[in-house]
Amino acid sequence: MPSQGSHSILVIAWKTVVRKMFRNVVLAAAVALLVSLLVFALLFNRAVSDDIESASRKLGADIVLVPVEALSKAEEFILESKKKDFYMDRAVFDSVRTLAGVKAATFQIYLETLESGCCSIVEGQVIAFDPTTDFVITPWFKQPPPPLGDSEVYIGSYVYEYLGLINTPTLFNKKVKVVADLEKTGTGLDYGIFMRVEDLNKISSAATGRYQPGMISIIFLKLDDGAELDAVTDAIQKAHPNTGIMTRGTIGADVRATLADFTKVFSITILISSALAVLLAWSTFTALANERRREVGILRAIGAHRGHIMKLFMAEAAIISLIGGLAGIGMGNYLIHHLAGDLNLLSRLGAYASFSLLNVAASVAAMLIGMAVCLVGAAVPVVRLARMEPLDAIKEE
Amino acid sequence: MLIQCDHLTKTYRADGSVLRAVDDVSLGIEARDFVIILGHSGSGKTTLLSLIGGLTSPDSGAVHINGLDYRSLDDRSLSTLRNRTIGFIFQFASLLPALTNLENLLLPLRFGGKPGIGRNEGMELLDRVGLADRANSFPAQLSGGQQRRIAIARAFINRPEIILADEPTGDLDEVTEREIFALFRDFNREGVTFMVVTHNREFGAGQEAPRTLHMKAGRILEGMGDDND
Ligand SMILES: Nc1ncnc2c1ncn2[C@@H]1O[C@H](COP(=O)(O)OP(=O)(O)OP(=O)(O)O)[C@@H](O)[C@H]1O
Ligand SMILES: [Mg+2]
Repeated sequence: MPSQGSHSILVIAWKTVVRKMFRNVVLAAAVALLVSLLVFALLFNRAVSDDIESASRKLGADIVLVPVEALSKAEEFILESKKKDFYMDRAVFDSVRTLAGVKAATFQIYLETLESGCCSIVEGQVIAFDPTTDFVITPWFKQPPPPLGDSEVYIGSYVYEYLGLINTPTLFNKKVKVVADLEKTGTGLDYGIFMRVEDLNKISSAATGRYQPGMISIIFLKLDDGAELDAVTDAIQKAHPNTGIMTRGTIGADVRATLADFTKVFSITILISSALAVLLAWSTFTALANERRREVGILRAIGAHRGHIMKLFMAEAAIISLIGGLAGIGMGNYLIHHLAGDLNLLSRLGAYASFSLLNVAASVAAMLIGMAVCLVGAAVPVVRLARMEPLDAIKEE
Repeated sequence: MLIQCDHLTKTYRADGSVLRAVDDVSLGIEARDFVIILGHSGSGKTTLLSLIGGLTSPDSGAVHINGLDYRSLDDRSLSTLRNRTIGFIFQFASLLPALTNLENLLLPLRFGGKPGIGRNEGMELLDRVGLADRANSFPAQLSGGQQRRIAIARAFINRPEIILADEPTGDLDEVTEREIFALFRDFNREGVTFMVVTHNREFGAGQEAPRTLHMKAGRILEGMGDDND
């Protein structure tokens, strides 16, 4: 009855651990710290790289063009919520849209809203776009939106939530009507208030900051399926040397590089912590093995074979590290929640720390790693203990 | 022959010299024998018992139980043999503190055990050592002597053929000691073979004379010889 046997041995392990919980707390705490660090690192990495990934994918554009000096700002806008204003000549748009390999092209104009009190939406970024060519905003509606008329706007998801508190939104001192709202994109679009390009001339130039008619802020290009990305960017570079070019792959390159550094730091920290945890498990179980030599000798005398002893002590290590691991999952998620509120970079981590499949998977993975580390450390003294001749074990010194 | 020892030798190296803890011992023990082992401290009694119980292996020589040579057994088979065929009683208290007295008594069943033995047998044995009412308390709540009685009861749980007892009554009072002797005698009459290390020459007094082995410097002298030299 080997299955009955191993089950009974687990019971002994459990009772022994519970009885001596206090001394096991140190090891459990070490595992907890390691696991919380792992959970934090895993979720952090996933959150940031997911953000970049989805931002570049959701944009729907293969190439993004901005004034060369605005390159970094544009990238920030795509990834985050920063308000932006930068402009280039609309002629660039008319030229690049006809390039070979370009399937679709659209542009947007970012407006800085200067007149104080002009607008009831403080955090929003007013964006004028061309509904006839747009392929950036349109995919984000649940249903096809009604076409925009005069004094009508679409709004991003963040603005939508914000507006819930305001009865009659105003834009440039005019009441506007919200006719549709976008789903959450996780990009700067969430902060957008979208109006038609042709309505721009109805706004006084005093209200719109540096914007001048005939200028645009950003161009989005979609390529034909077989088109060579490099060939198109080369052509654009040659024709418009003052244009900053972002391709799908380069969006977020800076953040990616930073993230890679973070990952390195995390990896080193985790390696060192793991080594410490192994050492702690090793020393805890060495002490434990010495303390319980006689007990092991007796168990051997009454019929336990080496495998039984291994099972008993490794089960104890597993129970201790499981307790530590569960605590670590709690700590790691708590850490993410609380740092998410405080740190700019982590502002979007909160979403990842809530209950999700990714979160559960990362937590379970971290716990298994933590447990494995503990078991590795415990294995050496436990194997030595199991291999002892029963008489030597019984004698103690 | 139940137990057969052939030229058993076990040496220890201590401070450069070689110590023969058991020195060329040959011995045969029949089923239902009641054997008492006497001898000074350090004469090799525990070592001999451990060799017979398979708790240590000899430098040379062989142990056979029911014709089975220990040298042919791997760890698993030898452990199973200890579990089912032999009951050990040690010189010291040997209970697991995390388990109740009854759980301690039933512990050998967790490493295999003989089929059909369970709680009822455990309670019966507790009753025989007079501790049935302490089944669910823990060893730490018992006196030293009571703990020893639980450990003694544990040796019988698998209905072993052989009991190897190393000073089983070392720290028990005379009355309890006599009760334990009586218990051993009962089991012996039921067919269990005993090898008991003791300093008490009165062991088994009033019964038919047990077979006595006298150990000295690792060697066996059969019969009731004079212990003092
Ligand atoms: N691990 C060891 N290393 C070295 N010498 C040992 C070891 N174990 C036992 N001995 C020696 O072997 C001899 C026999 O020891 P053993 O324990 O068998 O004696 P014993 O007859 O049981 O004594 P006691 O009555 O005191 O229990 C002793 O001289 C002891 O010092
Ligand atoms: Mg001894």
